[in-house]
Amino acid sequence: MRIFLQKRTQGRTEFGIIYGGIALLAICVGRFVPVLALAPSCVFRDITGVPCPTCGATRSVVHLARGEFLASFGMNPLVSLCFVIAALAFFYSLITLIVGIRRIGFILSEQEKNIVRSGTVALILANWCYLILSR
Amino acid sequence: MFCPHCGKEIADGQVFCQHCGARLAEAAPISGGREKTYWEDRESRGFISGLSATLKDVLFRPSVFFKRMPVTGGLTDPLLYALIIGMVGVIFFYFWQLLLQGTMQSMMMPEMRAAAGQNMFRGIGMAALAFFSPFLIIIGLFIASGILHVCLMLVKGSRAGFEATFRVVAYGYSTNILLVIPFCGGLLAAVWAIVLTIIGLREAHETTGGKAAFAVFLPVIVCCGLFIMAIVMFMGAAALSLSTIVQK
Repeated sequence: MRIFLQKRTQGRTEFGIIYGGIALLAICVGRFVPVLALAPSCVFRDITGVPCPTCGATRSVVHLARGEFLASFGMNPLVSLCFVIAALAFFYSLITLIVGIRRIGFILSEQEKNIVRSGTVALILANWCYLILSR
Repeated sequence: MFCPHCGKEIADGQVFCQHCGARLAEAAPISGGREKTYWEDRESRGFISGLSATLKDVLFRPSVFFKRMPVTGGLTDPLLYALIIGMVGVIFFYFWQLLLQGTMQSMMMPEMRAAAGQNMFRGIGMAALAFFSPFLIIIGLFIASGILHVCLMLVKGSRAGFEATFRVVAYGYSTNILLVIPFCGGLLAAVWAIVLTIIGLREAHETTGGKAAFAVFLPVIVCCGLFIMAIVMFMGAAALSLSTIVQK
């Protein structure tokens, strides 16, 4: 893996701001809207009795919105982690955009990309196993 | 190879220069022959003509459309297209909901009718959804593109970057126009959207149809595949326990 600092090019889409913004918006909605009363139940769980890989995501975001990080992590660790990372990415992208400083970039070799792919799948499966065992 | 902006040496196949961060157009492995869509060329064709020609092409000639569609050029045009078509679909969705609510409820069983009384698409819930629809369409577009692109990366099918996936999803919103058909419009739109997305990803990323389809169905495959595996393991454990009891 090669890590470097890169300058922002004109017209480059700020994905950190877009996806971080969506995550922050979801957290705000979780704080001020009674989403748990509105959200439909999981069809997969209703039919099979087993939680799906995203079960607990809404409750996780609601806990996150209340600042209850441990409870949020307990509901769905992967979703909780993704939201925290997205929120941090939002502020990082915003700051680097406003201040105009170089931002961190990295290049992965093909072998490292394969490791990331396998790791992502393993992470999703581990998260699902946790959900099944914890309920 | 060398960066055309800063002149420093960079690794082959990079999309961005690791020294100055400039985008390297020649690094994209997507072949040429791509041209602006009718919608993106609306200044010369006209707004309505550009919109309708794009809609017609996406719905009825998806392979040709996505093969010619540029994979760069900004997110604004496809986003605007998806927003317009999406809003047309939403308007018709609410229209049919209002017009046919009584008819649909009369066809329901009494229990279903009672459940429909808690339908969030009624009254204030419906008005709130109508108000937030444009925002939900935009957010939904980014979320769908993000998930789809990650799935595509997992199956090594992503050759043209996120923008290509975003464009496919945005132009795939064309199926929302099928919501003008009452009752079955939603189902038709959903099924055709899946087909369009697979074709679009295949052509935009110049990957195989199998990889594109796998990326689209990956979340479902993970869900159902592991559930089947869990059932097999459970049944295996049960059979093992049974055989132990019988042996005793």
